[in-house]
Amino acid sequence: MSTDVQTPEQDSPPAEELDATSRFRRSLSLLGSLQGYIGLVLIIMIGIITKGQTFWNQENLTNAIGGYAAPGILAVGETLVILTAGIDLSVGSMLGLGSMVSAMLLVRHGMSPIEILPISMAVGALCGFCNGIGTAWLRIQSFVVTLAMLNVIRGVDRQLSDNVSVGTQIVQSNGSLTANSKAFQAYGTPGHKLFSGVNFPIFGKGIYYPVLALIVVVIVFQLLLSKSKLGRHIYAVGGNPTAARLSGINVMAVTITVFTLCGLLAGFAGPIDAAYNASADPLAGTSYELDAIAAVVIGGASLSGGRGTVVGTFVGVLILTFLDNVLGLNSVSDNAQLIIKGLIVIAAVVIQRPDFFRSIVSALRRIPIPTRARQSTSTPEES
Amino acid sequence: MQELDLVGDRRAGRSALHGVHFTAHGGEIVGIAGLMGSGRSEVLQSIYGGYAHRDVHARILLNGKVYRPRSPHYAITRGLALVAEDRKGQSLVLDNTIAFNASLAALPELTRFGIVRRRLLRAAVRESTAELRVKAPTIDTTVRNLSGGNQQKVVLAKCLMTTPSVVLLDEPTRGIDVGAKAEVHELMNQLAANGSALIVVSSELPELLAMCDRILVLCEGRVTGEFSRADATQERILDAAMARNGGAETE
Repeated sequence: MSTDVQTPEQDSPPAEELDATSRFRRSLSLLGSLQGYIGLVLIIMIGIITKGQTFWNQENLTNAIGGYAAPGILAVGETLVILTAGIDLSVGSMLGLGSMVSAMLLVRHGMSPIEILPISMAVGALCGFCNGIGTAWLRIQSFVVTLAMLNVIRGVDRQLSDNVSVGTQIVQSNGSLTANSKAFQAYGTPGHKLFSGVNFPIFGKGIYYPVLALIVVVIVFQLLLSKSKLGRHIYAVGGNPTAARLSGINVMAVTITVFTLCGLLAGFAGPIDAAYNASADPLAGTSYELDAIAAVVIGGASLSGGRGTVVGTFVGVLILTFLDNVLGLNSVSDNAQLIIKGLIVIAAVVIQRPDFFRSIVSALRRIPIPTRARQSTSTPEES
Repeated sequence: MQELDLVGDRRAGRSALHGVHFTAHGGEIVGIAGLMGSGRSEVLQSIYGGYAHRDVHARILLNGKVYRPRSPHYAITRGLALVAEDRKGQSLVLDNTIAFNASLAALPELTRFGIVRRRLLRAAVRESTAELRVKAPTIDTTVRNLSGGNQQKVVLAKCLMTTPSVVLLDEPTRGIDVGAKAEVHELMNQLAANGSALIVVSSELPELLAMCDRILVLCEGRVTGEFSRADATQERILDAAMARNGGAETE
C-alpha cells in the first residue's frame, strides 16, 4: 500500500533548495550562536591585550582548558538534559562519586586505570538512570528529582569515603609511584601528556588527556544530536512533548536515555577530576552543576528545551575557562571573579534573545537627533 | 481493504465514550459529526493510542486482525496516522524546520543503525512537501514562520510520510484559508482513491456533507445517528447531534 499520490500537474515545486545560502545558514545553526563567538573572541582579546604571551601560549591555554575539562564534560551531558526541557542538578555529585569510586578502586583494590574508567562510567550511568526513572516514570519534575539525588549521591560518596579524601598517588617503598598510580596520572595530572611522540597541529608535542577527552566528547555528542535518530527525538521531546508522543516517539525512553547519558559523562569525568587534583575529595564536584548549567546557557541553549547545540555549549565552556584564566592572570580577587561570572551569564542570555539587535537599533533610532533633523522638520511648517 | 471496527471505549475516571461502533472500509471517507464535547476527538485518540492503553476498552479489527491501541508508535507501525486537532500544541515542533517536522513520524524508515540518512530524508521530505504544495522558500524554513495553511500541510506531510492505510483527521481544515482548505480536500479524495480509509472529525457540516461517504453523529459519547451520503442533511445531523433525550437510559 503506497501513498504515492499522483499529482496530474506538477506545478513549480516550491520546496526547492537554495543551495549555497541555505547550506551556509544550516552550518551556522550547527555552530551555535554567533553572539557566543563574539564573547569568546572578546575575552581572548582582553587576555592577549592585558597579558600577551603569558596568556596566549600553548602551556597556559592547555592547562586552562584541562583544568576546566571536568565541568566542561558535565556541561555536555547537561546540554542533552536541558534540550529535553529538563535540568540535572546532580552532575556535580555524580562526578564526585565517580572520582571517589575510581580513587578507591585504584588505592584499595589496585585496579588499573583502564578497568577503572568503565566502572566509574557505569556508576555515573546508574545514578543518571535513577534520575531518569524519577523524572519520566514517577513523573516528578527533574529539578526536584535531581536536587534530591544531589544529596543522596553526595551522601553515598561521603559514606564510602568516611569523609576522608583518598590520594591517588601511591608511593612504593623505593619512593616511586606504583605502575597503576602512574598510569592513573595520565587521566589528568598536570604535566602528563598522551602520545608525547606525536606532533599535534595545535597542541604541539603530545596531548593533555582532559583536553582530548573534552574535545572527543564534544564531537561525539554533537554528532549524536545532529546525525542520529536519538538526537532528533531529543529535540522533538524538548520542543513539543505532545507532538513527539503523537509522532510515535517514546518520550519516557528518550528522557531516561538522556539522563543516563548525562550520568555516564559525569562518571567519565570523575577520574579526570581525581587525577587532576591527585586525590578524590569527598566534596569533589560540589557546585560544578552550576558551572555546567552556566556554560550551557552561555552556549545559547534554552532552558525551556528544544534549542541549543553541544558546540554552543563548548563555546560556553571556553568562555568560562578563559574568563577564569584571564581574571586569574590579572590577579582579580576571587570574590570579584564570582560577581563577573554571574553578570556574564545574565549578559549572555540577554544578548542571545533573537530580537536583541533589533531592539538596540530601534532604541538608537528613538534618540532625538539634534540640529539637522530638527531643521528639516521645521522647514515645511514655515512654507 | 482496511476495516476498522471500534466496538466500545471507556476511559477510567470519566467515561468519554459509550459503545461507539462503526466500520470504515478502504477507499472510504467516514465523517464524525457532533457538538463540542461529544467525544469526537476521543474516538480518534482512542484508536490511535493517544491514551494510556489500560483506559481504553476497545475491540478493534484492523484488516480482520485484532488491533489493541497501545501507543502512537504502535499505531504508526500498524499503518495508522493521526492529524491532531491542535497543530501548534499537538503536532508541530514550532522552532524546528519543515524537514525536521515532516520526517519526525517516519524516522524509523529514514535511519540506518540509528543514524539519519540525511540525503534520503531530504529527498523524501522534498517530494512530499512538493506534492502537498507547501509554500516555503526551502525545507529548512522554521515552521513557526509559515502560515496556518502551510503549517497544516506540514502536519499532513508528516502523517503521509509514514504511508498510512488508515488516516485519522481531527479538524483538518480548522483555521486555514480557503485555498489550503480546497487542497486538503483534494488530498483527502486522492488518499481515499488510493485505498486508504479516512476518518474525519469536523465541526463544519458542509465540509462533511461534501467529503464523506458516510457520516456518524455523536452525542455525549454515543452514536445517535449514521447517515449515508445520500440521506445526510444538515438538519438531520443537527437533530442527531442534539438528541439528548435519545440516550434516555443515562444514569
